[in-house]
Amino acid sequence: MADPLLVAENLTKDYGSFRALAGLNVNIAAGEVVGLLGPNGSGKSTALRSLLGFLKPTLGRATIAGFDCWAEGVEARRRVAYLPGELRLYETMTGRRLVTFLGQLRGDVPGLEVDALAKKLDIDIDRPLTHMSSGMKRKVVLLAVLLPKVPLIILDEPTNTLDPTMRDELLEQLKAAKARGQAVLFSSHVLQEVEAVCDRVLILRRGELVHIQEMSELREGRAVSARITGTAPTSGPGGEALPTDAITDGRLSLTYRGALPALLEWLARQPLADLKIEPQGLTPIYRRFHG
Amino acid sequence: MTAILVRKLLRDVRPALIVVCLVLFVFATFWVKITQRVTVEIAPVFESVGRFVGDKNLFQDLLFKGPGKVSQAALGWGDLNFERPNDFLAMGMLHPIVLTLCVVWAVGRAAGAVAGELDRGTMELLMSQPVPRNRLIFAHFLVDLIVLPTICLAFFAGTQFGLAIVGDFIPDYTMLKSLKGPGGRTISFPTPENPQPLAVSGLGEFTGLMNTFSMMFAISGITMTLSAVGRSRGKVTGYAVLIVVVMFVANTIGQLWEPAGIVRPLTLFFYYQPQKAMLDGNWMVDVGKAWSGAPSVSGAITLLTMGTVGYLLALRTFTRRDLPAPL
Repeated sequence: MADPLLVAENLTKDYGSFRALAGLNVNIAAGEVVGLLGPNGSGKSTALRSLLGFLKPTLGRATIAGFDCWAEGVEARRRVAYLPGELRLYETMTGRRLVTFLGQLRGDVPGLEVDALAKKLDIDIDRPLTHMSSGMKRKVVLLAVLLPKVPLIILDEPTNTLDPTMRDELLEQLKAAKARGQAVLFSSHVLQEVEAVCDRVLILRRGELVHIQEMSELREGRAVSARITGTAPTSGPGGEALPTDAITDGRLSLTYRGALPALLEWLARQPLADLKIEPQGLTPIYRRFHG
Repeated sequence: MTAILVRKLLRDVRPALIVVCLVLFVFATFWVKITQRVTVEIAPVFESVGRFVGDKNLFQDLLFKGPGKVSQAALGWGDLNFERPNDFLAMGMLHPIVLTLCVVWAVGRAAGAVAGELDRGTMELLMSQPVPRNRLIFAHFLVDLIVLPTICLAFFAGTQFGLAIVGDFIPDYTMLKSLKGPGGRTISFPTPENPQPLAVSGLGEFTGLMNTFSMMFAISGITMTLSAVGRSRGKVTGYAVLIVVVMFVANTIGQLWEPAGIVRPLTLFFYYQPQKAMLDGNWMVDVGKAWSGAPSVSGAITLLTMGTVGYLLALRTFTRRDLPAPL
């Protein structure tokens, strides 16, 4: 991995006696897209808010491009664009004024690219925010987030209230950001969109990071499920011994990483009543921690 | 960056500021008319009738007995004489409408500054930009330095406008001529044959309004401290209003009941004496009246110090606290 852009070391946040985030250790490199998964209350927002310098860590620290997120928060945030989960905007402004205001605070005066991106996102940014739907408002802030070419984009449940077309457009934009070398960290409840764009997924449970999943590993894997009517096999497609829990009540369930012909050849030799092969998704992994 | 924040904050307060300035302008204009009515048509009649019965101050003394004395004390009119136009004009700065508007403005704006942004959820968007937290407090400080004098100037402009349109303050004794004694007898009240215009100048009000600015700044600073700690605009407003009301009541009780006078210097209203600044150019407040041996202090400077301390506490708190998620 290249030099990490974002580093969290034992990042911990307590609210009184309640530990909202427990010793988060994670590195994110430039150009990496990382998903943060977990149910409500698992510590996703606390983690993101700590990285943005909104919360003072109880223990540990986080840095962005070497700047401490709390002690050097301004420098750290100069390198971050953030889309809040719960959008509350200055309703008296128009979309354009909001984008310009946020840009000016960064020392940028957004130019023609505002209109180009607004057209792509299908928004009329000259309308007052108070007359916009929640989806439209989200798109306005997305525009403000995507405009500055900062090293890190942090998005808290970015596809909330977006229609399917816009959700796809957003995911495309995130891929484009990755191609530009920007890192993206986003939290979500929607596993499919995380699978679609992420390089790595972090799963949180009650404030603890319980699993890190490299998506490349997941994409190589296939989930095989079949009903066996005769003698159960003892070795797998590669000749390796099958795990003891691979066959339960006559049903075979295994994850296979390897060449497809070898798998098909092995399956052809088994006494199967039915068969299902699908790409290995995040769902079983997520369910392992949040079943 | 500070200029960008200040511009945005000024845009936010603009509608309310226009309303408050207009209300104060209109009030000040009307207050000039009221001053003219009282000092030109009512006070001379009372004075002449008083002279007629041998006691020039009869009615003034009567008016300020009992409930009148309470309201006089409560409103800080202690040394004012409503026969003099300038004195009556000065009462305008102590009028409940003016005091209430000033308090509501100062508390409302400062409560919205931090707690309001957190409450509305807009703080998250703002603070996710590379904005130092101290800049936000500094921007609010600058907005106070722009907006509070504007409010005071609106009042001043209203007074000047009123003085320009109401004309001279010439005592009018016409009413006395129509008064009849028992049996329809004509009474000859002592009235001047050629009444001269009363001296009136609203320019001193400018000095008095500096005290009003200081008072609003002090309230704003105190509220800003609470705002920097809180996360709900409603709660911060409630606590700030409670503090202001307690101070007002404590100051009033201290004026009416001597043993309680000891608490007065602890209230900001003790230092709010615009009438003294306006009429005598006297900025000093005699703390020795309440705390024997204590030196006199400048009311305006004391109030400005309170406001500045409030802002410094807000700065210290806001730069160290967590910013919670919107409620």
